[in-house]
Amino acid sequence: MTRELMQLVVDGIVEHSAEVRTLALVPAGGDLPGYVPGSNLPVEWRTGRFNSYSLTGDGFEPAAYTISVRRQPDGDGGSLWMHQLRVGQTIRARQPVSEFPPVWSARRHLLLAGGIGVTPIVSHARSHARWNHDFEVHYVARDHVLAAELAAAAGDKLHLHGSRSDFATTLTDLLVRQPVGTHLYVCGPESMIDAVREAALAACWPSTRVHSEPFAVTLAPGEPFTVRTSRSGRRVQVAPDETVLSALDAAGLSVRSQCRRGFCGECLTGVVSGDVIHRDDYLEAADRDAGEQMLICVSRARGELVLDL
Amino acid sequence: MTASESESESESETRMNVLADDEYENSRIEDFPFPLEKASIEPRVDVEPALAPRSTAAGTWGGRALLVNHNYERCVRIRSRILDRDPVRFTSLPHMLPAQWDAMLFLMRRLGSEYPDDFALTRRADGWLWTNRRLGLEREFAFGDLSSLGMEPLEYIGRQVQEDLLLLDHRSARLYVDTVLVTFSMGWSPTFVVGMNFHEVHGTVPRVMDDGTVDRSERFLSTMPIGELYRRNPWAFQIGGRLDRSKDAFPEWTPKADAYLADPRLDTVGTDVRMRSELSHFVRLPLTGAVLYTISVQSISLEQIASVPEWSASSMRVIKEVPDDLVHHKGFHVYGPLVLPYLERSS
Repeated sequence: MTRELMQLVVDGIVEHSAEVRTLALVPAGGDLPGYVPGSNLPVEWRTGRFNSYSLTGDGFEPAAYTISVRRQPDGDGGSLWMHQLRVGQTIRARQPVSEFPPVWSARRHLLLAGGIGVTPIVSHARSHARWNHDFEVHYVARDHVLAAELAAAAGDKLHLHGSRSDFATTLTDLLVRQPVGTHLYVCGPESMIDAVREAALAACWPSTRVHSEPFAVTLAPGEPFTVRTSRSGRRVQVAPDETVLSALDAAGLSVRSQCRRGFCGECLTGVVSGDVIHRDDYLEAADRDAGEQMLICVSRARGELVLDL
Repeated sequence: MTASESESESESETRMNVLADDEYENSRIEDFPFPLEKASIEPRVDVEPALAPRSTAAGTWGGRALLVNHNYERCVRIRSRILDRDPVRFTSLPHMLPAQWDAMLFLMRRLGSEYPDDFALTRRADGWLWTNRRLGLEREFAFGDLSSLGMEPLEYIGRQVQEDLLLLDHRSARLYVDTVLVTFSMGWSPTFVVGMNFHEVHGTVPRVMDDGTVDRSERFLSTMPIGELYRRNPWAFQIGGRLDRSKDAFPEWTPKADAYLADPRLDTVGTDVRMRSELSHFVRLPLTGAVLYTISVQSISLEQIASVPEWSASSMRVIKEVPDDLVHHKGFHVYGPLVLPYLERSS
């Protein structure tokens, strides 16, 4: 299902350093939807191409969406595009996506940030401050670009570390002195996440209390491909941000559907030929392997797909 | 038992189709969400995006997520009375307070946009103003400040909607029913399920655990895009229009229902027996990601069903074709012998 994109206007830019800038984005019209702490904003930097940036507010009634972007000269170009934006320009974004939420029932929240991974941690800290939750923040970086924002939310619960080796000496002590019921959230370079997970495991933390990976399933865009309908003889292009179902709808070919998220099985369609990428939550493994049917509301294909329609 | 209760009971004993003060006044067929347009009773993930109007053989329904109809004042009054008498029907674990605020704002916004003549949520410099013209209420409140509401947020809004409300928290890859404000449940106990996970809650429903329906439903609910509303429409038959058919209140309503079933009044079965729709909406709330699950109870009489030939036919078909293992769960062993002869006679 293609959701409408939001039009956002760049309202303010703060250059923290040559590498990192913060953008404040306001709606071109209407109100901005609130969001769960730790959410990210998929920004369209080239038609159909999105990069996701963590929102740093607490999500409540945001007057602006703020994101901080690190310049990645060897990336695919999205961050460089973000770095050439000027105040007053309009950009397009999807609704915020929650993939790194706080655990509301936690007795205490231990927040660990490395480098630009600090952005969702700022969001969490602001939310915990709002709700008077018990929390503590550790921010590991050479250059603490968002230290002021974190300090405003966390006060003396914020601890700055200048290097990973410096932090490594305190990590074990930090882990063993947390009360039972504490949840840990780490965002940073993969090597830091691995090190924290390892140390938490060694300190007998249940893995379900250590959060670093997105766990919500979202309908990510994919590569474009072509659908041919064997009975009605139509050819329809499926864009990266579309589904087979929405593309057929748009072409005036209506197919029965219900949940449109790959669960109910209503849009199950026969596959005549094609290399299907199953993304549903309905078909059994054996059915997938057979490749004779697919749920066209979520599943995609490589190259040309011929459907029994 | 109070004087008013004994009065209403003796009255309804003599004439069942006089509406008692704990009963729902039947919906109009023109906007009743008739659940059997597809005439399938197989349990499955029976969800669809909400807010799309659906046409039936008698009219349309579904353009709105919340119900405010001719029963509004009546439902709100019945719920408040139950909550006053049995306060645990609203139970919320402490960590759900942010989700309660989230849910309250969501419901107020929806009421304001779906029924702008009756409800309004207005932003003020230092908070909000909530206006409920149906009940003549105005309340200024500050988000997060309990004293500005005088009670917890879900109870505040729960006393102003027709829907039962549940909040589900997602943690450790499971959904937990951590908040209930449920006074109109059908055969289950809201106070018993608080704190249970999604699997535990559905342990008594035949089939759905083994065939993976519960698993898929849980994954569906916990991965809905934030803010997108979905719906489903479970249903059942019942005797009379009593809204509160909870296990908690068994002693209040089962003796009368049993007595009726032992000696059904065949001349009045068309008005005594009703089809009950429990149209449910669910959404992941914007600020906490908690799942808000709303259930709005409506009913129509067999007589009303019989007035629409398509509804009558699909009701009869569903009762006749229900698989054996679901007969008891749907109560068809009890209601089938009442409903089938009536609908056959009237068609």
